[in-house]
Amino acid sequence: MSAPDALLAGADATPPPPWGLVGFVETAPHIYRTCEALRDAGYKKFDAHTPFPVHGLEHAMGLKPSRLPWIVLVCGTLGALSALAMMIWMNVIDYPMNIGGKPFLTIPSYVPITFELTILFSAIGTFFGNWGLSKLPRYYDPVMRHSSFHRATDDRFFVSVEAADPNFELARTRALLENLGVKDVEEVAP
Amino acid sequence: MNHSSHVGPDSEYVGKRLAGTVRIVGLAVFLIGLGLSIAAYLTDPDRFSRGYLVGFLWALTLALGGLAFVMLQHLTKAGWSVAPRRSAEWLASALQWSWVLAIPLIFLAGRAFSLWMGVHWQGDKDLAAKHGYLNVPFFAVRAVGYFALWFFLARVFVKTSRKQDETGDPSLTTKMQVWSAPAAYFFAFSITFAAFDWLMSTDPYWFSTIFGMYVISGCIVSGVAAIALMQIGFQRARVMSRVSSIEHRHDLGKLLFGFTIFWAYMAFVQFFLIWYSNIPAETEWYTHRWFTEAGLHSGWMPWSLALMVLQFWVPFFLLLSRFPKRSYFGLTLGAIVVLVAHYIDIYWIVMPNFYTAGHFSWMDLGGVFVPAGALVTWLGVRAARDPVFPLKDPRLHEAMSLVNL
Repeated sequence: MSAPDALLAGADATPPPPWGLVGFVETAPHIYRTCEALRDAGYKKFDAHTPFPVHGLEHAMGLKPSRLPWIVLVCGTLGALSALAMMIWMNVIDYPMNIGGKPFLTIPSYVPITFELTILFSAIGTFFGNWGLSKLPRYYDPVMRHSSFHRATDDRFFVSVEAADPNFELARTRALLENLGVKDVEEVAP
Repeated sequence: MNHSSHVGPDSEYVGKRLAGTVRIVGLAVFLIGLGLSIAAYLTDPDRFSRGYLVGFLWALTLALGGLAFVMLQHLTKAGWSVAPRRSAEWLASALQWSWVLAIPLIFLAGRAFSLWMGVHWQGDKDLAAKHGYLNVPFFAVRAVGYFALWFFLARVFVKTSRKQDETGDPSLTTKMQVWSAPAAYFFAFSITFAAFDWLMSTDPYWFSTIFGMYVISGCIVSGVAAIALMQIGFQRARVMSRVSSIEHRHDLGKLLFGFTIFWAYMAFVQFFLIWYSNIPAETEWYTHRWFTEAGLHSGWMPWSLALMVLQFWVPFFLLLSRFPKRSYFGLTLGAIVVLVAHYIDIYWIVMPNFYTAGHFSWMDLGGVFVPAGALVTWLGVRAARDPVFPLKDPRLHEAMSLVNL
């Protein structure tokens, strides 16, 4: 701790508890084994950060199926219903017009817009639902404090374990990770 | 060739028992159909001719769907589909013999196409205008052309794939990829015109330019359904389970779902434009299928509804989620519903042109049992002869390691 930092923090301040532990392994099979071991040790709040999608990692991590399809289903249904409601209200109630001698309430002519709005709402639901589930947008994630985290987009497979996990215990978790062959295990601040 | 009687996850062949069962079932359906056909022909030759046309085209479109699947996979250089591709090739290989089932139609055509073939077209302004295209000699020449083209295309893809089983030469994959692009053009145009000739001309006054695409969408969706059923059958029999797994079923389910929507898109677009422009010569075709002359609901209205519900709504909601696509029951149900709906589709195109009452007759059963039985028998024959997946395809490892995220 440099002198100004010590002054700012106060003489008797203890360092804040870490957000968690972050380290990396060097191969895809290794990250797979690491995640399986963490899963089997009962950890829930841990994550893998890989340069490319590692198929089957969600099983190794013990992740539950995503809730995103349900969000999309609700959004798509809302899209279809709002399109129908909008057109029926406009064409039947608010401003009925005779177009080609067709009845005011004509389901076939509503189909294209209903289709489009179903797709649009589903797409928006997918996009922002994904944001919501991933807790986006935010400026940074604590894992980025690891000194070589930039290599997660290149050639290293990172694993992070959050201190918020009930199983987390700094020394024990660090030992577990190191036993699994995880390198450069660092404590990162929140 | 090692035709081992032991069948397991590593076996390259379906096994004699399963292939034999398929052949016997197919043959039984064929023979029952033959009996029904003879009885139907003696009872009402007109009805039987039309029923046979429907049944023949149902089986033919399945085989064409198989060919479409094979070409599509080569066009896109797909890796996952190597596992189910042989099933599609078996379906496509039926095209080499489909002309045999068309022979009865030489004698039945006058009845099946009775509204333009051999009638007094000179006295009819519309038919006279179309006579340059809709005349018997040109119709026959075109039919020979379609069968020759499909014979050739099926032979190219099936033979080459079988040759690769022996040699393992990766350049054969390149050859099939090169072929697939021009083949897709010829395939699409041939089905478009075959659909005009064999389906649309049953009502020679009506026309729709998107009709070919509508029939192609039916071909592909029913072809995928048949391939899915074959994969389910192999997996249940524990054949090639190391190659074809739940992941391949899932992908076939996605294709089935997607092409169901494609069919609905085509069906709706065709209906929508005709409904909107509201020209009597065009709308008449749909009016027949919903209303009687008096404006009441006709006997074809339930058929139209059933088509809409079974070919789109049921498979759509059934296969929307991931779980039914991955379950044996969900995918089997979806595929069977699509295959039944595809029969309803062709029946619904042909029959209302001849009959105002929309009731199904036992006489139509013979017409579908004969081609369906022949197709199933042929699949059994191929299954006894060929490996159940392309043994030495360079992308086989890709198919085996398929995982859906």
